[in-house]
Amino acid sequence: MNSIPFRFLKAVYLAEVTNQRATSLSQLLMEVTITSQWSLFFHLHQHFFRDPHIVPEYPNDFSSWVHTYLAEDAVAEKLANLNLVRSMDLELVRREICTILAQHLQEISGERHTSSENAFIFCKPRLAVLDTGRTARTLDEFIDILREMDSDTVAYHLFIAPRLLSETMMNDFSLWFRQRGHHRLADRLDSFDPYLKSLKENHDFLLDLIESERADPQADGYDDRKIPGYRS
Amino acid sequence: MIEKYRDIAPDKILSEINALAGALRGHTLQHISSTRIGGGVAEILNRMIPWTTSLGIPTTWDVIDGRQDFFEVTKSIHNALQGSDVEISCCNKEIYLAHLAHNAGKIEPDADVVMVHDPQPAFLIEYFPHRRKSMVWRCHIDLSRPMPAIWRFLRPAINKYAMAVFHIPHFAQKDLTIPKVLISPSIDPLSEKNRELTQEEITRIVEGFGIDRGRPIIVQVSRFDRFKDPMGVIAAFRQVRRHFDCQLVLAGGGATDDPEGPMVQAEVEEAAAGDPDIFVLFQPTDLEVNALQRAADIILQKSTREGFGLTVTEGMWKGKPVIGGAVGGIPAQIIHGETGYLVNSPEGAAYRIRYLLSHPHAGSVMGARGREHVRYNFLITRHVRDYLLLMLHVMQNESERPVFIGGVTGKTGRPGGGDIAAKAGEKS
Repeated sequence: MNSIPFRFLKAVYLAEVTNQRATSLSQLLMEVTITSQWSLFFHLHQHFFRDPHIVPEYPNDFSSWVHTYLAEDAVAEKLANLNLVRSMDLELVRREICTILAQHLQEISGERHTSSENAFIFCKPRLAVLDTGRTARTLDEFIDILREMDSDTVAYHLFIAPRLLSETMMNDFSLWFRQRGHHRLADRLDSFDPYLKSLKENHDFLLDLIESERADPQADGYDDRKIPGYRS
Repeated sequence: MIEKYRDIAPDKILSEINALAGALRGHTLQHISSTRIGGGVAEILNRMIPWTTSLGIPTTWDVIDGRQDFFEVTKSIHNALQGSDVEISCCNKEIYLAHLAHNAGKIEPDADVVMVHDPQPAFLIEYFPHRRKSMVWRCHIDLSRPMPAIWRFLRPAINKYAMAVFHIPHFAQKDLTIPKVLISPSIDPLSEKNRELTQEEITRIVEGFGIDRGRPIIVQVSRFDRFKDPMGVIAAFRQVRRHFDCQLVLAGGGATDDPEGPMVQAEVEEAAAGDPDIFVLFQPTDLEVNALQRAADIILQKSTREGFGLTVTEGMWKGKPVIGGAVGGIPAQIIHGETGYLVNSPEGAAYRIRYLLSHPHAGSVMGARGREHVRYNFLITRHVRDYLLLMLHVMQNESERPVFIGGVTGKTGRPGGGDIAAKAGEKS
């Protein structure tokens, strides 16, 4: 178990346009209800892949569109405040979005529409998963490689793999840390909200977190030399 | 080729190109378009083909031929698809189809992936039913508001392609039944319009137009077209100049297919007449555009309707804050408040110009962010990567499952050997 290596992967994608469009909150509600998990994922995470350095004012496409084209800022704020950290399951996120929209629609008498030119158009990613060719067997190797990797690798293991490609609903880093006995490190990573930071900041945070754990002699499971199969 | 871009493009994009090219090496790519010289498509292909060839993907380029009457019809089709009120007669449709039948006898779409560019050669697919799974229609035009009659004529042919590619989501017509993917256009940082210039070069060119580099310069580069709102730009400038001593440059040409161009230019020249701080420059060279953009304090693209808006990309690449109309592809480029501002009126433009002139540091920070944003998203290197990705998806011919490259399999993709591929299909 302890010798399972961490293989650093990344993903690149093309956006595929679906036929789902919305020009009002009620249409957005209807389309969010039926759209695929891939599409939900795309609109919740797209900004991480567009620019690793920027945290936009509204952190997902739904909130940004509601703010920009419907000027429903109270709804936009609620959509910006989605609980994406706790709800690793995209179905829970879908339910949360639908509840926000449905509650608002119940409270108002008439709703705003935007033109078809400004419609929300649902897209989904067509992924290609790439091997970076780098594999870590120890935490020391892990941090050295992670420092060299571009931030898309962090996005893959933090967001894409757990949300789209696996059943575990745990990010790959925490999963591997726990497999190696670094439970405190995994706990600290799991309690952190990556949606408040840019991708580059998340990358830096992860490096700092591991460095601080490595510097702490009380940290559990750190000393890789005690692990069977360790090769210096 | 990669080495030429090593210190310009992000390392991550170059390594992605390498990884994708490794999986495609030996496979072939073929482009089919209507011209080898002039126009945006030819410019892109002239830059793109050396790239894919250098990556070990043999790439060919076929061009359809035709008489003058054929290209007159295709020009009308092109304009009608972009929303112009043009009717295509049955006779003209026959001319179009007859020429494509003739070209089908001379062009063999035999590569692993065949990209057919724009409407002119689109009907070729009718003659190659056995090749349809490898043929992609690459649309470079604004298809958001086509004339219904011409779209009804073209749509059945487009629906026979394996996939269609558009610049932005709003150009992807909803009634196409094939997969529609997005690939943004790009700029080449080594081209004459975008290469680095020395301060001496910039000063020489800009002062040659009589522009004073000692005072703020606001620049809009675009053809003289009402949708680029040059009169709105002048109105915004006049509001700004009540508060700031600055200069405006409106630089551009006229499209040969736009009969309104000379009229709009005359209106602009009349509005600017007698104002020594407004410079109306007709058909500057690429080098001059480069220098004007680099000399600018602020770049404007105050369009009221826009395709993608590569002048926004060019301005951001030069590290300038860009103020753009919130239309077409401009919101896909400008992150409001981060890399520039999106505006909807001359007053909005005037306010943002005033803000940036009074906060030059904020403008510099935005400009630097904009350049990084372009580096990641709108340079030719990203465009090459996306073409390689497109090839892989067309060859895989399966929409929902990810393509795995470089020895990645379901069993090796996650710590603990979980099967990543299995879930991918279920969750889609």
